[in-house]
Amino acid sequence: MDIFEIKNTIKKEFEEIKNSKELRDFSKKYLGKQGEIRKIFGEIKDMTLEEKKVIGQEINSFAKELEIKVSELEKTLKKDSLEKIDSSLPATKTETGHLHPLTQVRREIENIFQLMGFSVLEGPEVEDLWHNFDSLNIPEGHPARDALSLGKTFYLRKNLVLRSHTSPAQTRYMKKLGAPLRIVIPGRVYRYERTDASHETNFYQIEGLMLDENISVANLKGVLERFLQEFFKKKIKIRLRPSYFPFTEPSFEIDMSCAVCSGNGCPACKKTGWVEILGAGMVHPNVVENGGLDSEKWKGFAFGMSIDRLTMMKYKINDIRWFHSGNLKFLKQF
Amino acid sequence: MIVSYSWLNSFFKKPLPQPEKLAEILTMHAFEVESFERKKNDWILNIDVLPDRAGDSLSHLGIARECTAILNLKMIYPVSKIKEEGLKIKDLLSVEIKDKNCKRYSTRIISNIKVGPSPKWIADKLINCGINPINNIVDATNYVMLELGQPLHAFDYEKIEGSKIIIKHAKPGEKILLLNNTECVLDKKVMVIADEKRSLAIAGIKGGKHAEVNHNSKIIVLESASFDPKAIGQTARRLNIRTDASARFEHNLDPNLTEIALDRVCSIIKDVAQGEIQTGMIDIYEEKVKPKKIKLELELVNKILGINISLNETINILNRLGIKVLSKSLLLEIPTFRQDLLIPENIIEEIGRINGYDKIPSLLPCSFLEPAQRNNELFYVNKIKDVFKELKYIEVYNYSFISDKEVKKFSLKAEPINNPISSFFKYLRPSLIPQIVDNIEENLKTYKDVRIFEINKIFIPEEKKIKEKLIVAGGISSLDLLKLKGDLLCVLDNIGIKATFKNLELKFEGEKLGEIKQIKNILVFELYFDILMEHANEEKEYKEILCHPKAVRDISGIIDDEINELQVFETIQEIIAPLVVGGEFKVTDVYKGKLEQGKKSVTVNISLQHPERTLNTKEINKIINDIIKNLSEKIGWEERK
Repeated sequence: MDIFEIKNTIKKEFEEIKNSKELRDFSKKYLGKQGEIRKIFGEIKDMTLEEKKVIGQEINSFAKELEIKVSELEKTLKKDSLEKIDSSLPATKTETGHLHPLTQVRREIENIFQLMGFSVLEGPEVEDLWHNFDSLNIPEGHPARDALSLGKTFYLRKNLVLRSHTSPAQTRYMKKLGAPLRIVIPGRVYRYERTDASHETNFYQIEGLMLDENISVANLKGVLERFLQEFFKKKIKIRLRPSYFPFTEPSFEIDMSCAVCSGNGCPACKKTGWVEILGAGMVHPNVVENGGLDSEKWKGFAFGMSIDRLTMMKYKINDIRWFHSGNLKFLKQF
Repeated sequence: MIVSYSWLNSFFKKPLPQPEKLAEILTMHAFEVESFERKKNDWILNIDVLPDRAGDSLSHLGIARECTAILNLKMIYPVSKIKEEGLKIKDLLSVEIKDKNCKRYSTRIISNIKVGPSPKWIADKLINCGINPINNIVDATNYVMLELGQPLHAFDYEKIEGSKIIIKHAKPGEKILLLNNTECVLDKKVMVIADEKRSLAIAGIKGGKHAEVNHNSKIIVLESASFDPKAIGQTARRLNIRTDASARFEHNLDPNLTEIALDRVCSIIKDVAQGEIQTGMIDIYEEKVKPKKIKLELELVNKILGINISLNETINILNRLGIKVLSKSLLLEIPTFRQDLLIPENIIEEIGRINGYDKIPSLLPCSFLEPAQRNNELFYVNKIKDVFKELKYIEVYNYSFISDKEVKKFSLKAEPINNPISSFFKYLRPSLIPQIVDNIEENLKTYKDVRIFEINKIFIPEEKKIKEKLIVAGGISSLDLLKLKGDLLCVLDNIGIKATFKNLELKFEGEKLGEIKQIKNILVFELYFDILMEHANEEKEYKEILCHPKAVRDISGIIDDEINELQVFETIQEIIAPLVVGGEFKVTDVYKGKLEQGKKSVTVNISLQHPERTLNTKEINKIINDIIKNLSEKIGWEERK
């Protein structure tokens, strides 16, 4: 009989105990009146007195040690016992903080463009007329200026306005950083507009601008297609339609294949398979010159899209006015 | 622009594609077709003509030209048959242009007309295009406007005083009764068509009642003119009168169109109202607009579009657009109806869209692997937002606008907006606090515990400018000052700022970073982001983790109420630091009752730990005594026994 081996077996078994029932069985098996340890005493009857003394002592102390361990474990198991808790009861609600959905989507957009080497910059919200209009090839008396200015722009003192788009940042950063240039400018813009489920006076746009010596419409297509694929995490196709913006030439309206139905036609895309997503174009030579650069040398593309719209698409939000409601029932969902 | 499919088809020998297909083709190559619907025997297309193309495309002719270019079709132009008879027009009428904004004035006279209803072929087309038929004369002018894009006007010759038409500025305060029976007060910036006595029409915008053609009219004067688009647009907006005519005159109509349209309308009137077209035409046209020339480089076309189009294909497309190719090196002559084509990029757009944007491949740019630059401000804005989220705050966005209510309630000085959209949005907000308070109060109706924050711009009116400042603001729906203080110190600590807090102000090196305010049962805070940016950093250094036993002692003493926690800690630190002993201390109790006014009792819990060994009692007592000694010397600490 190898005491050492017995001790090891018992220890090992003890360590594997997972609940009170197993512990009760263990106690009974080893420590009870008919337990294994008692039995050992029976087996050492034939040994010499000297041997009996040594082994007996060892077994006794081991048994004591084991009893203490068992009673400790018993206490622990009692305290932590999941058996007593009805796990079907409702959970204790854990609250976390929340970032505004526009913040979350804006970060996502910024990250994708940053990975493509576009630096993220910001421009002022109070703009002067020159940057908001003239620098973008929209002089006084231009129909586009009247359309944007008389109907849609908030006027402040003197020649100041609240920017009606993020595009004024184009010439600001051309002047400041020169070319080549690869930037996106997200931010709050303002429109004098009657509000409804899809129109707001305060909303968010992101402007993109890439200037280099060899930039084409094909590159505009490439960058935006990749962006949309990364954003919607889907194979997305885009198509360009003719459009008009005074600050780009050629100008495009860009549609993407519907992310809901993959272009097969569904209510989200009014069964067309396409969703209008942003406006873009090749930067007009006058704008490049207004940015203090040589328009013969530097060509490039610019685009502008609504962050609110992408956010609404992503989370299926049906009313743009929730964003500025300050309502926690809305904000806690994101 | 409402377009009749059958009318459009009449420009071609071969039939156009089916309406649905045509709508798609136009959308992809020219203008978005917003809708198409069946109407009696016709289809009606609602086409959103782009603003820069309104000069040439707000007509069936214009849309037909687009179809020609896109589909490579042969077009049949409407013909005019003019048989002149009777008197010379010069003996009947004279025209004088006194306003330079009238670029061209062409007119003919038809006598012995029979005013009556229009025949069905005209009336139906007008109705399909959304215009109510009036009589065969007015209808003919509208018909030609829809056909060719040139707005026309007919006057009753016998109502024109002095047989003279003068194009001039209106007299200030002059009144005119318009065709729709509304009276309009004019100013001297308004250009009018007048006779010797009165104004007969607001030029390019709307006719007057006085010389209106009605069933009694026998002789009519037909006007086909060209005006400065800017002048018409601004007047139309100022007077707030928008008509089919002004919508066209506001854009670059071809001045060479007046004559063609005038002959066309006379030819139609002759058909539908009989009459005799008097001999000759009065046509005042000082500066004749000639075709522009543009030099195009094929290489630039391909470089900008990112395609590889051949010279032949380019020439083919240009021809279809009506652009004359004068040489193989692509010297181009632009027809005058395309006043929007000014620079090579304009032509490149034309080639791109006619050739098809779907033929442009999708290619990522070839560029240096220049990494995106980090935006430090944005980095810290994001960092702060994340920490607030970790501290269980919810981010809100509020409008940049506030009303009189907030301005009064919070005594703010706010920049007014010249054209506010409503009285709730009268000013730019100079503080985020009013809306934060409002958000908390509103949400308390639903939630017991509200913690929110916002990071956005405020606008401070200064004498010479409006200053934009980024502010971190927020609030909690309780008066748990110490919790909020802890939260804010934690936020600041996360951006590397070890701030102090005194009298509800957060400071770093004496500079104010922000503050906490109580508003009723709410605590709000503001942090000034520009100041945070001066001190924010990401520096962190590992501190040795000590493993020898700690010796813990409490000391209690009485100090002036003025003295803050930090001063106590600094004084303790002075003693501990040179001994290379790790130490931690926290105030465990502050007591003010039953003490002399202006004093407080403070208990500080000090733990000491040596990096390399266990401290013995003797050493510990020495350090504690030194600390007490220093405290009493520096800040007047009276040790409580």
